[in-house]
Formats: sequence, C-alpha cells, structure tokens
Amino acid sequence: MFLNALEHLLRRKLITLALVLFAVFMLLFWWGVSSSAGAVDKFHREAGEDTQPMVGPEGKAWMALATAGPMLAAILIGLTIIMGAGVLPDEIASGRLSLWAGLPQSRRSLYLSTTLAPLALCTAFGYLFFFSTALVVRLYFPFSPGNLLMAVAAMPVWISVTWAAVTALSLVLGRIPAMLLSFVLGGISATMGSIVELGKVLPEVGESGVCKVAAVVTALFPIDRGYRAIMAGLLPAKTGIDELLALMGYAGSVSAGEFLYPLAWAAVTAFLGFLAFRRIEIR
Amino acid sequence: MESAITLEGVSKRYGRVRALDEVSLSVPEGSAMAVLGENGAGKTTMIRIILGLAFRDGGRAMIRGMDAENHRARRNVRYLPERVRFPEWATPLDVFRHLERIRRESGLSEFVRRAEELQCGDLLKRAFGKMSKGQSQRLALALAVSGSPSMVILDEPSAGLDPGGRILIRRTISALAAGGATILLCSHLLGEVEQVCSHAAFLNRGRLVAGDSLENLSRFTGAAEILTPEPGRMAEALAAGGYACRTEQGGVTAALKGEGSISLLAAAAAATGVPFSSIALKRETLEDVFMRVTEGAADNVSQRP
Repeated sequence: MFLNALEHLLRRKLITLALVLFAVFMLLFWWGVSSSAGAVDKFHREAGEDTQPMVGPEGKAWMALATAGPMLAAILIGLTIIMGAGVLPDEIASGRLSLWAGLPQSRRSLYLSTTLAPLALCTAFGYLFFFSTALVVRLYFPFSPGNLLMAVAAMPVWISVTWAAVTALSLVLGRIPAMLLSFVLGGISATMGSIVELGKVLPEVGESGVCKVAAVVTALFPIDRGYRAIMAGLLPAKTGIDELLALMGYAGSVSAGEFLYPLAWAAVTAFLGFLAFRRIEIR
Repeated sequence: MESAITLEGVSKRYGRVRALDEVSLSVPEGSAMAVLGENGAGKTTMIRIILGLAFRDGGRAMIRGMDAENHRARRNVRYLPERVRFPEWATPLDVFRHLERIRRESGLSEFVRRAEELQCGDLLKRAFGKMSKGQSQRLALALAVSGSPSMVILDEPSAGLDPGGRILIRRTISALAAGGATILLCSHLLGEVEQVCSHAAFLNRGRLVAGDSLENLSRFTGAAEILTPEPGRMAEALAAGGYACRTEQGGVTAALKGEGSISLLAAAAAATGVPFSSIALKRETLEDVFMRVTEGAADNVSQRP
C-alpha cells in the first residue's frame, strides 16, 4: 500500500507544479547569487586591494542561505500540508478507501502505508530543495556547513511535525479545515520560533515575557524546531555576524532536546491520528 | 452445511436511526445469497459490517468463524462496492497491480481472462477517467473476482448498466457460484437474483424479516402452470370446466380446486384436446415473496406499540 500511495502521489499534478516552482526558484536564486558575487568582487576591485571585506565568503553564504531558507520552507510546508491531506483523508472523502480497506490488511497497516508515503516524498523534496540550494551558494561563496549530519537528520524531523499534524487533524476535522489550521499553526509557530532564536542570542529578549510565550507556543506546536536544526546544520559555523542574523531567526545552535522533542511530538500526534482512523467507518 | 458468514444479533445505529436491529443470519458455504430490501433497509450497512468497514454496536459478525473485524478473515474474500471509484489516471492494469501488492491472490493472466469474459479486455490500458460507467463497472468486477476467490461480496454490481452489461455480470457471478465460491449479493434486480442465487435474505428497516433458500421461501400459489402453444384455446376450454384461468406467454395459469387437484387439472387439460408439454404447480416468484415478506413486516412494524 505504501508503494500504491507513493505512486498515487507522484501522479498528481501538484508534484509537477512543485518541481516547476522549485526549478524557477533555483534559476532565480542562482542568478541572484551569481550576480551578487560578481557585484561584491567588482566593489572590492574598485575600492582597492587593501580594502578589508565587510564580511567573508562564509558570511555571504550565511546571508544567501538565510534568505533562501524561509522561501524553501514555505514551499515545503505547503507541499507537506497538501500532500499530507491528499492521500488518506482524500481517499476517505472521495469514497475510494472502501476498496482498499476491504482487502486483507489491518487498519494499522493501511494507516501507516498511506500516511508514510507523503512523509517520505516531502522529506525527499526537502533534501532536494535545501541541499541543492546550499550547493549553488557554495559554488560562489565557499563555506563549510556547521553540521551537515544534523541537517540531514533534521529534515524528516521537521517535515514529520507538519505531516503528523495535518494527518491527525484531517481525520478529525476533515481535509480543508485541517489544511487551513495547519497553515495557520505553521505560521504562528515559525514567528514564535524566530523570537525564541533571538532570545538565545540576546539575553534581554530571552528573559522577556514574549519570549516565554513564544517558547510555550513552539513547544505546543514545534513545527519550526526541525527547520532551525536544518539551518543550523547547513549554515556556515563561523560568520562573525551571529547577533545580526539572529534577527532573521537563526541562532546557529540547536540542543538535542529541541531536536528530539519534535520527533516525539510527531510520533504521538501520528499515533493519535491512528486512534481516530482505527474507528472511522469507511463508506 | 458450514456457515461462511455468520451474523448473530448484529445491531447498528447511526444517531437515532436504527440501521440494523439484531440481525441474525447464516450464509452457507458455497451458496449464493441475495440480500434484498428497499433503499435504506440496511443492506449496505450489513455488508460493511461483514467487511470490517463499519463497526457493529452489538452482536457478533464472523467470516468462517473469525471475527469480521480481524483483517485475516478477509483472505480470499473479494468485495465490489456499489459505487466503486478509481483514480482517473489509473488504468485497470495499474489498479490490478496495486490490489495484488496487498492481496497476492491472483495472476495477471487470470485478470486478463476475467476482463475478456466481461468483454472489456481491450480496455486494460485505458485510464478509468476515459471510460463509461458500464466499462468501469465491468472492469471493477473483473478486478474484484480475478483468480479463484472463495467468497465474493457484491453491492449492486449491475446498477446503472445496460442489459448487455447486466447479462455479462450475471454470467460471471453464476460462473463463480458454480465454481463453489460463496456469493453475497445486494441487488434490487429480483430477476437477476432469481437467476443467480440459491438463497435470499430480506431486510426491512434494519430487521431481517426472512432468510432461507429460495425454494423454502417460495410458497405454492394454489395454481398450476400449463405450458402450451395455444394458451388462448386452453384457457377457454378450462374456463368452461370451471377453472379460473389466466393466459401468459407460452402457457396458462389455472387456479386449483382443492386437495390433489393437480391430477384433476391434468385430466381436464388432456380432455380439452389442446396440446400441452407440461403441467406443474406454480410457486411464488421472488417478487411475490418480496412483496409478501416486506409488506407483512411493514404491517408488523406499524402495529408495534
């Protein structure tokens, strides 16, 4: 059933659209990065050889990646929400599930196989989007990622939170309300997550009431934690402008707890989704 | 005979609506049972409970002694829903591949043979989105019954089909029944049921009002049927002898007069001099049975306090 669900997803026009959007984004990004690299070189040549660059290549890479990150995140979260609500909930709503549920397979197997397919596909898209973007940046601004392994490991963690939320919500509320709610929660969590990151670098922000509220919100819906971990892993380790870029929501460090908690949250939420699905009557 | 499907006091409510009310039914292994009833009688709910798609509020539902909610009970059990829908992009070959990834009970050649039997072998590579309802329905049946299923559950398989399509589907179901598969068939087409099924169960407002072999369900009508090439002449002659007669295509139906009267009628028919090939007691048609049991049940319901 996993392969069936994966094939079903791959046949959707949404996948083609996502790939086309990403290709357009990559072309524009490539153009932008190459142009800015040329402009910086020209500036230094014109200013004279003794001019010290304001930021080194790692700093430039930091800025390029930090600029691309939110856009990629928005595309991926949107894709995850649509695809998460696009297999099992869609099959239920369209009345196609009775054919599959009437086969000799358990509800658990049906749930896992149909819901894991969008998770796997979105994670694969995540690797494609983020790592190819980092590669383009590295062509023009050589840098070493802070922790590549963490970026790799954080990708499924990040995607799984949104996936689990939209899957479970869609089984309880229905497809469209679940998608809307997941978008809203994702937006709130991302905003609050940026405040949490800023609080890590600026103690006065970290001790403020708003930062405490932000910490609670991100704990309740930790959609952005995995994303911060990906960025912390991909971004260059040393830039010299950490405080400035913390304003963009990247403190450059993620604790193990912040990494594991979203994973546990997604597992529990997915299990709650299964409990809902187990007693759903299929028409 | 062993029971392939057993329902014991199965009840199901949807809010205030009682979809099934303590239904007890046994479908004998190898039999072909029709589930009949008006719209909303609970037929589809019963099937969904048998397949574990819906959950009963009370009672027990079993397939070959195994709880119907256990997915292992559905091994080699095939199901064709009333309104089967496939992804528009999918071809029958795609769907077959998908189904067999899970059930692993049939080879491609068996599916192709079924499709050819249903005269849709040339559509295997065409997307369902580009097919007519009849074509989709015939292919859905081919997908459902490819291989050698031991039990087939069909919910209105001929609904919305043209006569040609109905005949093909009826032939396939008959072939499955002849091959020893247990058939559970929901249908509003009583003629189809009479030709295909050996047993019938009648549901009325969620209650099982009758369930048995067609032979046991059908009563003698107190009339006999005489097959004759000259029904008009035969009816006229018998009427002259005091028999109440009705002419039908290819024969005459005559009301009997008392005990052992079939032999008297035979003698009277012979005395008319009109040729006839057979004379037999007339039983109720399934339509007669349906009207009798459902109307009787409706009376009982209306008399309930």
